[in-house]
Amino acid sequence: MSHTSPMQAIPLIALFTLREALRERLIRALVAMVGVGLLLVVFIGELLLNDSLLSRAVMLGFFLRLGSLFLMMVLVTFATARDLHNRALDLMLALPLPRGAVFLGRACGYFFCAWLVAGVCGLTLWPLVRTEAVVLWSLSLGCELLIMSLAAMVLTLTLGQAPFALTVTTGFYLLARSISALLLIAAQSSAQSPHWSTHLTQYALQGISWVLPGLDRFATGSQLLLEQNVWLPLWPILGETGIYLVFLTALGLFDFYQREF
Amino acid sequence: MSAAALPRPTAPRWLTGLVILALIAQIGWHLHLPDPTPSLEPLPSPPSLAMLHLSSLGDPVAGALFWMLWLQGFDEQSGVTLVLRTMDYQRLATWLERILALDPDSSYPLLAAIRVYGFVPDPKRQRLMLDFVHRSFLALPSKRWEWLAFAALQARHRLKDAGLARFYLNDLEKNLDTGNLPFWVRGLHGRILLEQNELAGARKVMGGILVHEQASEPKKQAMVRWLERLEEQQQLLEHEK
Repeated sequence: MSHTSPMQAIPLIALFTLREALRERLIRALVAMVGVGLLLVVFIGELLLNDSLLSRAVMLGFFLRLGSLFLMMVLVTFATARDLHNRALDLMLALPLPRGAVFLGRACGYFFCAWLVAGVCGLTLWPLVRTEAVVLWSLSLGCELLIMSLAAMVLTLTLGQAPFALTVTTGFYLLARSISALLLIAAQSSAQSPHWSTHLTQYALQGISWVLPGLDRFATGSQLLLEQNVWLPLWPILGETGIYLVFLTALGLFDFYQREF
Repeated sequence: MSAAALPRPTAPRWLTGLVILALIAQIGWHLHLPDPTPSLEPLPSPPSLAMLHLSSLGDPVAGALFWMLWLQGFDEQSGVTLVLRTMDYQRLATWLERILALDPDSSYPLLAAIRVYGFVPDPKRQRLMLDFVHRSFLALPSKRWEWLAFAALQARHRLKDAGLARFYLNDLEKNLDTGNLPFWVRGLHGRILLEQNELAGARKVMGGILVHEQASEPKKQAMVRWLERLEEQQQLLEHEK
């Protein structure tokens, strides 16, 4: 790789990362997740009063979304922690390559995995809902997986230990998905009891929401039910994904370049 | 030495015994535990709408469905009728209202109110459910009219309260274009008016059906004859007065 330029190295590292993830039984885990999801939907379908396919699709979508997020977060966190601890990263950095190429190559590899997972989830839902709605939902899930994979990688590189990094990443994800509801609660309590502490909480939450991705708009059940203006929710999602990926990459690279290996 | 020639690693025998003993102890422990007894837990107060939003992790459609399934679980505690009769229906109506507010496009809470909770053999509780459907209809008439029509049907047949059914049907006609209502809803209105001796009202409703509905010729003929009989009855009544 001594004569390889960074632009050639990034796809190579990405491909290597994807192969590594496949060796880690990613496909088997995906199949197991889809199987459990389908069983769950059959069970839930028995409980539903209206027995509608769309209600089943919403439940399956909710399960697949959470399952794939967990799968990607675990995969990225443990693979990055292993890189750090078994000196694989040191070896890669010993090559005549800029650190950025190694970082971006790894990130792109996880992005391939994210699209693979989102595609499988979309195919599972395809027989239950309209094609356009499934495509929107899958793209939206893919974007969410991209953000969370990169967040998991950056947090693991920064924090070092896999269990700690996984806990923080999970917290980040839950906060990003519930920040709108938290803002609503804070605004309500601030209006009901206008005290400086409630105002302070509201402003603090507002501040936090500005630096979090609005994941509550990604891969929602309502996207599976859309019949008109299907592509309308996609543009804000693509915009948010683009901006947040640049933000996380810059943050990760900043830390990666400062790190001593 | 090749790998094939290496002796296969085996666990000490006492460890195998320990696994079997621990398994027996675990099964024995469970056999001695008392059987689970069904307990009637009262329905808790519903959380605020903001808390419901928080619990759905930003996916209100899936969240509303999950909460409805959880609410349905209360019926299954030990026999549907017993639990429904003992359930706090005021609280149940608030639960349904909040879940509907979480996902206003869903009709699941209205379906549950009409088809499950409205079937309780207690008129007071039935009225609470019908009232919930009526309030929900007034909030979004164009999407929920069908449920108010079912509520009217239930008020007439199960509750035997034609007045309430008529009140709901009047509200339906007040809030929607009558021509868009299906035949069975307007027919129900006409029959209720007839039962209550509101002959003029019944004629008006039935006449409206005749004008709007794409009915077959024999059906139209039958309705015309029926309207003529209605007119004769009305004239007779006026003459007696």
